[in-house]
Amino acid sequence: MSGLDVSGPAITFADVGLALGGADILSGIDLRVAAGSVHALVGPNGGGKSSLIRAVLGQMPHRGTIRLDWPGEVPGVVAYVPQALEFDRGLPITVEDFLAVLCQHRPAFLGPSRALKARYAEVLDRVGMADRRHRPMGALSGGERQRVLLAQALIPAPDLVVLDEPMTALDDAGAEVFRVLMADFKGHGCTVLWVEHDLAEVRRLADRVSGINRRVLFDGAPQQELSADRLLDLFAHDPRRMRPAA
Amino acid sequence: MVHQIVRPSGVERETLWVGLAAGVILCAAVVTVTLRAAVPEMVALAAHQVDSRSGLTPAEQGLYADLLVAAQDIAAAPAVSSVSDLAAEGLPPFVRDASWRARGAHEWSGWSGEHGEAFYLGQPGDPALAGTLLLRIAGGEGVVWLKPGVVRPPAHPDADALAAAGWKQVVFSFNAGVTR
Repeated sequence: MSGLDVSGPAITFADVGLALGGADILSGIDLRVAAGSVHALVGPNGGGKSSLIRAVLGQMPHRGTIRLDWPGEVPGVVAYVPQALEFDRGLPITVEDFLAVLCQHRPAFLGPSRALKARYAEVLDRVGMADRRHRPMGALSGGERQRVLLAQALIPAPDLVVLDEPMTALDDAGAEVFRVLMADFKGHGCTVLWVEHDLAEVRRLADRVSGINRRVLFDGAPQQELSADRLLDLFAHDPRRMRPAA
Repeated sequence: MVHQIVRPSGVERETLWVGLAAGVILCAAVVTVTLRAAVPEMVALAAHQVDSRSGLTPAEQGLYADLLVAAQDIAAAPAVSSVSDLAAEGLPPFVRDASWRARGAHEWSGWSGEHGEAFYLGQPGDPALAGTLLLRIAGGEGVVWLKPGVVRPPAHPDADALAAAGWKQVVFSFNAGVTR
């Protein structure tokens, strides 16, 4: 990718730490996410990956510095896809209503915004949900809900995409949709910060991968870093044998 | 290129905003209360009147309340009831029970006036507990007059004569001081 068409920011973590309720979740995180790259964060459950990306969103009381270097004159659009949607299945809103709640200024009970109605149809089509736009959210499967969450991240067109295990509930068709979206993000020069458990997908789609278990255990190209030994150490209870990230 | 430092979330800013919001609400409340403060309307009593809530002894308050109730019963009767009839009915304050004794053991007498009104005079056995009470029923409405000590009313006990003789008309008024 040429540097000219990059719209996403570079992200720099400098000595970032996080303590919640007296427990250290993260400490000494020094990382750099290149502008326009797909940067995956992998590691065991409870390792602090989700906390780290929520710190990027300004939702955590972190220590240290997280800096976004945007290529333009103003900060761009940040899209976030959460790990799962805490959702009352009895809530009487449709897929389109859900997008309206998240994406438009006009109150959702007044219906979809005229300016965005076509965009809703378009993004739902991109995630293969065009025929379900009037279905109740409570009637969707877990994979379909995940697709809707991906769809909402496309309005407005993002420059930085923060993904928290977006593939967890996706079926094969959903995974294919996700791969196409990732290719689109890369094509548009977005920066993607991506927490993922599916290491095969990380190796396939990410430009760089960091192993996080309360601290950075490795950081590099997926082809080199995702070796069997590395992963055994990453997911071990006692990762002391790991060399710290350079 | 623009550099953006992600600010940590935390209690500092939230506390500040909550404090500011509380301050604004408090200031608005102070301003509203100050601007909208109204002097409670006080009904000034005439010189010959006494307020039932502040001017009576506890025994007199009890007697006054009983007399107002009794006045309704007496006014509804076809003829003027005698004190003995009222006592026989068990109607306070004419019946001689424990309350009667505690409120000064009044000796009640009744008579009809020249203009169809009815009078009931209660003279206390113990003037320290309550004064002399006079219930005047006219037009179905009872008015109670009070004078300390054991006294007799004027020969023609209309309002002017009673006031001139130092009796006080017992009245009640509802104002900001009434809380229930």
